Amino acid sequence: MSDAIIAPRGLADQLTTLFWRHPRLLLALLITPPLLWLGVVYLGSLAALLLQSFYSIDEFSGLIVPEFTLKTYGELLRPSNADVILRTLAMAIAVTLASAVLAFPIAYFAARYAKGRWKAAFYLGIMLPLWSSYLVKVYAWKLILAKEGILTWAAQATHTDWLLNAALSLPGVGGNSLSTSFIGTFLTFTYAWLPFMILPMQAALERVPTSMLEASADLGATARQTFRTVVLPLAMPGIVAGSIFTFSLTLGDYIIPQIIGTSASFIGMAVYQLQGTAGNIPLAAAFAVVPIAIMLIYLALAKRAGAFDAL
Amino acid sequence: MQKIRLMGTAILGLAVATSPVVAQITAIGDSEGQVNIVAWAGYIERGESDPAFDWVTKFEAASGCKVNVKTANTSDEMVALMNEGGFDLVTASGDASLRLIAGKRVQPINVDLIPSWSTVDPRLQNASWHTVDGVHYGTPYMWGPNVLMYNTEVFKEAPTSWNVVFEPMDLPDGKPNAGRVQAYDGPIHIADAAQYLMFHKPELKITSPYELNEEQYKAALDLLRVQRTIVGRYWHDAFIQIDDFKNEGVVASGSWPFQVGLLKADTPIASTIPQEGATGWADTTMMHVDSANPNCAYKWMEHSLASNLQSDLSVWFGANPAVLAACTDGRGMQTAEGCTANGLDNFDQIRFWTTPTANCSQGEGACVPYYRWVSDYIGVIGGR
Amino acid sequence: MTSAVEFRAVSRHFGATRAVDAVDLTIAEGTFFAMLGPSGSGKTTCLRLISGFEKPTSGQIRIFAEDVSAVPPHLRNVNTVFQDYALFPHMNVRDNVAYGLMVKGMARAARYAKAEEMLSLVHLDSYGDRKPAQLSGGQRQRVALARALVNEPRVLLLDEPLGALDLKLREAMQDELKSLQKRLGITFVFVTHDQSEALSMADSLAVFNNGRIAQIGTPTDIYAHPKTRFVADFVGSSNVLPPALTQSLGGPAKWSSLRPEALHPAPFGPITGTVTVLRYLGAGNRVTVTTQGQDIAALLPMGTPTPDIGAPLTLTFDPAALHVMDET
Repeated sequence: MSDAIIAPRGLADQLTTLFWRHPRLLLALLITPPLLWLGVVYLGSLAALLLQSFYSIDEFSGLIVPEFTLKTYGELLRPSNADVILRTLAMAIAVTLASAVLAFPIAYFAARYAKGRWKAAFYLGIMLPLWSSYLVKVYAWKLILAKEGILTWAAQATHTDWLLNAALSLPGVGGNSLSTSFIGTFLTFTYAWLPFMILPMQAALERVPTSMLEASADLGATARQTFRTVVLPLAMPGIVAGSIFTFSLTLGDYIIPQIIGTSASFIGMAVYQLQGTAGNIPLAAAFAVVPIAIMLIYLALAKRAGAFDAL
Repeated sequence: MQKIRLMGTAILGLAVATSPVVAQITAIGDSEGQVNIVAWAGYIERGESDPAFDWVTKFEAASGCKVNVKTANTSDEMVALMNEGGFDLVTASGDASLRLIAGKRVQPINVDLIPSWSTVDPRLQNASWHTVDGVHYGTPYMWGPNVLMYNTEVFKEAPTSWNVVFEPMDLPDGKPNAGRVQAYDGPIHIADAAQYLMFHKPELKITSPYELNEEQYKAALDLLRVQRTIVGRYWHDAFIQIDDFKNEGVVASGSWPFQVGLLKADTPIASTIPQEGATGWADTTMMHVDSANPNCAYKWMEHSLASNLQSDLSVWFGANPAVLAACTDGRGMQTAEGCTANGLDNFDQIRFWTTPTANCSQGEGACVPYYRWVSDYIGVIGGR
Repeated sequence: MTSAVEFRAVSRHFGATRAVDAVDLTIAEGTFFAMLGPSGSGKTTCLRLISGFEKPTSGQIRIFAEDVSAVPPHLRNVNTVFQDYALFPHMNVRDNVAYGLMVKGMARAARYAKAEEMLSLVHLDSYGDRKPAQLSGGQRQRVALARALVNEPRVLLLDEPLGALDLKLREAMQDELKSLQKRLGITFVFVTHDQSEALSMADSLAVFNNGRIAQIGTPTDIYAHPKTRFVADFVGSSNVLPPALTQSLGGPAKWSSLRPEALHPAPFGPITGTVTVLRYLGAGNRVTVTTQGQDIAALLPMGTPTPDIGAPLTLTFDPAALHVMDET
């Protein structure tokens, strides 16, 4: 045996040789467990959900009839159920837009200007709220927004309570206090999901080279034109990614509207109530399919609008 | 009445009619060393929440049965846990108890083996939520009314009617009630509305707030739509309601004695049962059909009826003991006044919760089933 | 002739670093001007000072006699070809080129017509619909050029525009840039670290070192008469000789430079040493002769006998080729 070949020193060398000869083997080994998980647990439960939504509940006995029907989906169109869907959709849109507007300057600062220590501070600031319990945050917001809470107190102290009262007297979204109005639900949602918008947005903005912005200015564009024609389109995949988070989280949440707001149902709450004591699993499943359908439509629209062109 | 009740639950299992008496034990043998109980939070205290409230430690020492508690949050969870098996006892509420009986998840109990059975409040001994065809399926544990909680600064005298939370009006302090009252965020609140109508609209001929035909049901929903205009937020979590009475300017709402007890300490809060009566709940300790530890289970059921335990329990939870002596014999912390405050004397005014089903005393398929209560109540709260 | 760009004692400091240190510079209108220097020498900062992406710490910059200290980049009539081209990936080539006209509010038809004209100028007539990602490096370079020229700037700035191209393409682009500049007649300011590129293209050039201009002049001037050791070393591959050696070769006691092509093997001569390195260049050989610890390179044309490594070699030169610098 010549010195040109080193004898395998053990199992590790043999395995490495095996993987070198059959590169796909390693890939298969690595990817099979998560794929199984995805396939069986995730897609399986999704399929079960879909199946349930095509069953119906027997009006007379309240038992589930395991026969294919579109009746349950028809029930979604009943005014009270359609209300739930439209209310949730409107909230999701409002929360997403507000998050995007709030997140952009923060993400832009972090991506363009924050360096070293400031960058660490940025990440800490964004992530810190995520470390504490979601429930604690929501209850904290309930106290902040209460009729006798901090915000009302601050408004009175600064003599801006007329503004607060004006907002609360708005038809539809107003209410007795911030914590019992849609405005309160909206504020809490926006707070809770903001990090999920900032992080992808910041990542997208970081990938826009400075020279791109300089080129735009160099060619005579004002800051506003640069923002509209260069920054925004290039950051769009990040904005869309963030909006997928804020949108779908709002569509599915049932805790926040339960604690803060007018008690009017959102999709998540309806699912929770219907699958519980009511035992109306088919309608709960049909409700649960709605956010999935909305997200698919949303993604299709975003794709058509060119949101992923810069990917 | 029991026959009718049976018809109502027939859809859940016809088998009940054929008296599923299994190998019921006739004598209590040696301790198996443990007993596994599914219970509501706060029902079985061993001094961990508050050292003063402990009715487990001494039982364990005396009986040789270690008590393992699995807390459940909803009746559905209780039914699901009992279906899974592995438990000996469950503290089931009225909506779960008949389901468990119909589904043959619990067994009839031999009251001869429970000496304290004779001390149980006679009003509860044959209650329809645990007694079917004269067969007892458990020992009563505790019951309570859904009271009208109110702020004593606004109401100098206790309100006499539930109308303060159902209809728009000016409260005694001269300000409207809109935004200052709450209602329960669960479809069962439809029953509260039906009970209100029972009193104020006799022409609807409502006989039970849990058995409503289409017309009666519609009238209840209409009343709830009126209520929607004055309710800022509906409550479902006891602690959120407590917070709302403290921070949201809420002054009246249907509630549980539990919240009243906690709020009384530092806020001007009291409760009453108005003229229309109240809905309520009653819980029963029931034994699993395949209980692995029957001797310990019987020992616990006997222990659960001890007047000192019942006395402390009723203080802890702000409810009424299943054993009347607990209010008066001074073996625990409860007093006669305390029991009166918790609504002990209002038993006849209280209509205990049962699950609405399509087949009811009005006939087969005559009543609106519970699943419709759920979706319609969602609509009402949503402003429909 | 007016000056296109003028620096008066311009400095740009980043903290303690003096990227540009009191530079005076005049670039004549219509010339092809190169800024040459190693990385970190301040040449790119100077370019960015002209475009407006950097503001001078002190001093004054004039473009066509106008003080631009308070003028932001988008209002300066200069355009830049960026090192990484900075093409907008979400726009096709036509929109990229028409961008400068678009932001000025020119109608679509007019700006597209102008864009096509520019694309034709850089020989990319049929590429308007492609995305930048679908182009080769050289093609992207041309698009960047067309995009910068569409606004008809009075000064075109080029930041190492050919750095990413391979040798052959680079040479072709050098010729093309040069002829384009001649045709358009506008001032080109060209930043590079490649001395042959600077020498071959520029009408005049500035050699940067440590934030200062080491020498400014025509390519021939700088090549033949480097003022400092740094320039001699950086521009071309001259032998830089220390004062003692200069003196021994008949010059004054100063640093001097001697071009390799000025040295020839001869039976007798002032330099004798050992051949230590032999490099075949195709058109001849380049030998390094070591004498008194000093490496001296000489270019041996084709036909000259090839010496062996380790063999002695004697070199001679025309005394006029010995360029004496001011440094001692």
